[in-house]
Amino acid sequence: MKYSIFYLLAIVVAFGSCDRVENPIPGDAANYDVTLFPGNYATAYSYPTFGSNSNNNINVLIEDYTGHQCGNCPAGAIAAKGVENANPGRVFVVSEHAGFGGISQYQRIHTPNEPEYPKYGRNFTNEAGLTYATAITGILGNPYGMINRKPVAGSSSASLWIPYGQWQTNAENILLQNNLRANIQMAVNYYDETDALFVHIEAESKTTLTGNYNLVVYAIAKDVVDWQKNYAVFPNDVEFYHHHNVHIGNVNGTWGDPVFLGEIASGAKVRKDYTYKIKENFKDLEYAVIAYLMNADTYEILQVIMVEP
Amino acid sequence: MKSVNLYIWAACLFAAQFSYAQFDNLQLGTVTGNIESTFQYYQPDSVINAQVPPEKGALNSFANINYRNSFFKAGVRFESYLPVLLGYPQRFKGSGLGYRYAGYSSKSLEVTVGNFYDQFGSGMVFRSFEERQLGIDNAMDGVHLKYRPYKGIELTGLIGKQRFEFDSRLVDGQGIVRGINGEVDFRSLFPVLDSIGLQITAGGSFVSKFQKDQNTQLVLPENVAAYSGRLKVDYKDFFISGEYVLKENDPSQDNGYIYKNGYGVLINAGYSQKGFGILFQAKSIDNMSFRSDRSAGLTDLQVNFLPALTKTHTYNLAATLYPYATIPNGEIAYQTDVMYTIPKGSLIGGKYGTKINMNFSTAYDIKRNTIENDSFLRGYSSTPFGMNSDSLFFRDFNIEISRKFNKKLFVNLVYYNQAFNASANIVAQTLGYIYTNIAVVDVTYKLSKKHSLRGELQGLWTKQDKGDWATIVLEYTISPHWTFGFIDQWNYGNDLLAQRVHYLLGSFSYITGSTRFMLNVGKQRAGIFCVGGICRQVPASNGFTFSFTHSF
Repeated sequence: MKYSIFYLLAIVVAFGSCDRVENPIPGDAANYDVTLFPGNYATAYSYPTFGSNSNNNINVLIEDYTGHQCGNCPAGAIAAKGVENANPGRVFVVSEHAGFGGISQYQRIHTPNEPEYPKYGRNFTNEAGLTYATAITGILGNPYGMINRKPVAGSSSASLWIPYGQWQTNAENILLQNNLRANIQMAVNYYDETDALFVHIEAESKTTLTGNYNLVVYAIAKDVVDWQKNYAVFPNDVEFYHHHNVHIGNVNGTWGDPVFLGEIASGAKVRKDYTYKIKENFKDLEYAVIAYLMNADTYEILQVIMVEP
Repeated sequence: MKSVNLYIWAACLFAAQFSYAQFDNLQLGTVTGNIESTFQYYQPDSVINAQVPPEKGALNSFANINYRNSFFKAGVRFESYLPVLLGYPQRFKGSGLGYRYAGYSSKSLEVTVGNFYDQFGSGMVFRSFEERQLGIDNAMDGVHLKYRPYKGIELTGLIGKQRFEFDSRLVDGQGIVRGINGEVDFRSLFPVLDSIGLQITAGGSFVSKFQKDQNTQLVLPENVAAYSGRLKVDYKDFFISGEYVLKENDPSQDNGYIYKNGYGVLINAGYSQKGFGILFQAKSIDNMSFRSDRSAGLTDLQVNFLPALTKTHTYNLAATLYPYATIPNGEIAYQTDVMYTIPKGSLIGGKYGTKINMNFSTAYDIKRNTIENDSFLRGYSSTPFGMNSDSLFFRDFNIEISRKFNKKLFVNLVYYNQAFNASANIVAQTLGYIYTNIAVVDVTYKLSKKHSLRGELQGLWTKQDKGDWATIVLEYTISPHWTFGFIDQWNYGNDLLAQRVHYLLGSFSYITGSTRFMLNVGKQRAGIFCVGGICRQVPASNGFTFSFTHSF
């Protein structure tokens, strides 16, 4: 008798309790909204998995701080595009509409009650870009930029801001040194029914890292045709100017997500999943996503990639 | 190797824990069992799209051998699929042991190791069973305890995996099923209840399944629990019983990986007296597919059983063309069954009385309320018996009148009026509603003391799907050994002239003692074969079938 009771109790004890899953989505639900998937997310969404990353090359991000009312800025855009075209898949340009103090005269928007409206009526700025322009000190005006947020090599200045005439040299220096300390893999899906980007990223340390490193993810409109002041042409107000790789917002907050903290061994991996809803003023365009790993203390970008859906 | 280990373990268990049992005076014990073999030879028939396997012939064979000696019991089932009959799960193949068990059984305690079947309550929370005609066998493979500590109280505990495949041996599914069940019979505890005609039984169950989460996209619950409580009250000629089951979040292939809880409610009430009986049943289920493998489909690895509230029809056209199967993702069903016998000797009842059976059953989809911004994948919300009145799944009204006119003549008349939602139960070649009227005349005439002739005439009329059907059955029986049969199913109303096929089937059977031989020759149409609300697609075939059964 006692044995049978023992066995019965043993079975009862052996029961696992029920696992009540409050949030079925792995990771941070606040940044990953499955309701943006047009269909049954659980059964129809193709959730990517990443294999080993065989990349051995560092990439470069040219942040072109510009403004649609900045007549000198198209020259900077041409310089940036030239470096990008010369180094396909290694150099990526992002057009950041921000200037001295965040919004300067060059980023000014005409409102509907102004006679010039709708000329320069589109708001190209975004919260993250405006924050960078003020938080990372040293921007003098437009066009100005940063190349992986590293100072000019050999310069005594610690400023990260570089005039566009030096962008090519600094980018090529970084490519030449090829000091790869981190890798990133990314998969992106876009659904026009919901104007949503689904972004999946894996960051990996390629060497021992010490410090605090954030993963920052941008939503990019690849080509926005709108007004741009250009002193190189006459008349200066160009209606159908092609704005290249416009930074339209951050997928995971202004400074991204901290992914590596303290001393990180080589080979450490972090996976992140995000969704991003395209804002009203940038709908019905073609998009891309830029992801970079940044030293949170120095702003230096260790690696950057760009992926189109 | 696995089965060998199991028996070694079983032997140790008994040696260690039941050594006090009285095995000193072991007799030879008793051996019981049965054998069933069905061989089918297939021939092509392009008109009915009859399939032919490469082997042209197929065999399903089962032999159960059970041994019992005092408190000890053991048994095996030897199975052969050489190859498996068409329409059965094709992952059944080869020959070997498909079921084996050993155990100890006394008045207060039953222990089984190896395979076993059991059911908690109505089965909505747990049912392990074999339905061979459907190719279903979700036998448990593990340990089963049943303990009766006091008269009227029974406790059950079990843990094991479920049978999934047969590949010359038993192959279990991935998941582990654990369960406990308690039943209390208050009449046994309080005999005074019996004296006032009151009987109360109550029960409760807890069942949990475990399956590892290997999904990177979702956080899946590895342990999924279901609970049930039930009560049955009998008072003289009345009875009422009810069971409620709650299943915790169980995202699966069946429900589209939603995390909503599932529930099931089943209520039965009835009254019966001599010559009259009435039964009312109501059921509300939502998201109650419960399998030990969340990716399984069809009838595989089901932990529970969801009864269908429809009458189980036996006449060919009513039973196999548009049968209703329970929809586990959600349905609300009602059934009323009334039986009345017009007394014998009355003007209408005749010399032997006339039996009338009326049955009405219907099932609807549940009402699903949308959840805005459902980022936690709950799917929808619902309430028990909250139904969508525009979503009829099935409706069946039928009336059966049977009367024995004299010692030689017996007549059974049945009429059915059915509405079948073919979009909900995908069994037809069309979607939408199929409305049918079916009539059956079944006459048995006893020619002499040992010779009888039975004839059936069936008609099914519908404007949907394949149109009208007629069936004629003739059966000549020479008691107690011989039966000769003939059946012709004719799809005379098919819109396609080439499909107005006669499905002719001749049969012969011979019974001697507990042995039965049966031979069928002819065509069998494609259709659905259902038992208790669970169905199996039967492909069209042409050829002959020989079956043999024997029990000992």
